[in-house]
Amino acid sequence: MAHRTIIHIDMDAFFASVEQQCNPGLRGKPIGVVGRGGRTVVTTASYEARARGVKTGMNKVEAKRCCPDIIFVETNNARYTDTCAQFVCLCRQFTPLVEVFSVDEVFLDVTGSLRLFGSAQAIARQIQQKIFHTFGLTCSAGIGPNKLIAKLGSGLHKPNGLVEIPRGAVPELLENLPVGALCGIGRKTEQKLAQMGITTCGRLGRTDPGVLRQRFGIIGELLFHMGRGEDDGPVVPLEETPAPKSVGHSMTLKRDITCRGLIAFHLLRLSEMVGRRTRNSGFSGKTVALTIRYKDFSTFTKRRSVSAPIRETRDIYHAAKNILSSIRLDQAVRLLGLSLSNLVGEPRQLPLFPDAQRRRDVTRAMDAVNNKFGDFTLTWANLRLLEERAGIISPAWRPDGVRKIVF
Amino acid sequence: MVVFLHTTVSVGAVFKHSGVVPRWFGYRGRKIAIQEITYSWKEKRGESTFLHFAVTDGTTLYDLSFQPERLSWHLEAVEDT
Repeated sequence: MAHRTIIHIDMDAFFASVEQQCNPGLRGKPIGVVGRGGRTVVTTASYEARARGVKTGMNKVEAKRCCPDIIFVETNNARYTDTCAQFVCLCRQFTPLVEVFSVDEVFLDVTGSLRLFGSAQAIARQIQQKIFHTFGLTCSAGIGPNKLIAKLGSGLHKPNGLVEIPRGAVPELLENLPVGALCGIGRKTEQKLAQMGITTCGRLGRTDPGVLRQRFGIIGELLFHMGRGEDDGPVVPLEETPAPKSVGHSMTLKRDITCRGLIAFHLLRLSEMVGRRTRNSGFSGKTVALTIRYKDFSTFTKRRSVSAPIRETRDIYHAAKNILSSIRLDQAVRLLGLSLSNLVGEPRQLPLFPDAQRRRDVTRAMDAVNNKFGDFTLTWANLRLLEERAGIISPAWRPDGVRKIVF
Repeated sequence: MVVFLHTTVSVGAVFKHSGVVPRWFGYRGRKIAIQEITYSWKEKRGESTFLHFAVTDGTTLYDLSFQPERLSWHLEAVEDT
């Protein structure tokens, strides 16, 4: 692949920074952004809170223990997702090749923009200035020959940092860098590599790829290249993102439940959420997967395929209930997840029976009302008994397409 | 503490090339002058778009929303800073 120049932009403590910008009374104070409801975790902590040991994923009790004067702020997903959509537009002023990696991170391939804007550093600085001027927020930028190195760079000097790692500097940088510092190597892979005596990227890049393939399968080859700082993955703009393989939603329940009737209520809500997004995106699916997490955090997923593609809420719900009835619940349930995969286009077959046609017409009418006035404006009577929950923004969220969830 | 309201309010605003900028609004019989717009964002509810403005009069934070199709303003929330 020809030499590329990639920039990674990472918003600094994004959710917390947005809340501090919104509310001057929170500026300079330790804050933790949390979900709604009692059983929630810190999704982002401000730098003031991080300095006191507060980490993402801590529950409120743990966070309070680290930082007794922490202020908890409820999440406002519409603020963050709209800000993301705006800063993506801002980045597109410099190149059309902008990939949304998550709600607060983007990659830019500026290889073709350097002649117009001068240098990657100049582009990154301009983006930082524009983001600060528009939103009052800071971001950190990493510049490198590929996405892996650019992302490594943005994390080296936060907040409001700008780090460029030239191609020639990559081997020296990676030599003693812990493998866990690379994006894509999580704790489990890090532990398995440590068992092989591989703790640094330098060592990883010198390991025989055959040995890595034997231990890790097909990703062994990828790990070898990562250890050497090699990554020829392209920057994929939104419009070229491949179609999703599944549509799913999950929810942490307000309290652990054992009652199957109550679980069924929540499954109906999840079925409606999955069904609506599937229908709005023009898909149907043949495999329903139910995920259950028990109160001890043990988690499992059970799948069932149906004979014909489905997209109606009732059909998804019945398939989910069938899966549930085949499971013996060993403990109280903490989290439920539902997804539809094996996606195909809209079904062309007209329903054979009047009843089925009527149900389809009802769904179409409900979707039309909810599309106009908002989700769950018109819904199943049972769901009125359930409280609304503010969802967490999934890492798969994107500002457009089927992965765009409106909060 | 945040108090959620979603109540219709009268707002004085300036329409510029860059959009709409609220300057004051009426609340509890008082005319509240906006000292600073601290943040703004868009929210979709169904097909409707709401433009939100987090504003402060120096002591209290307010969330004002404007719905362009209906030319209506709402006070969504109030929070002491």
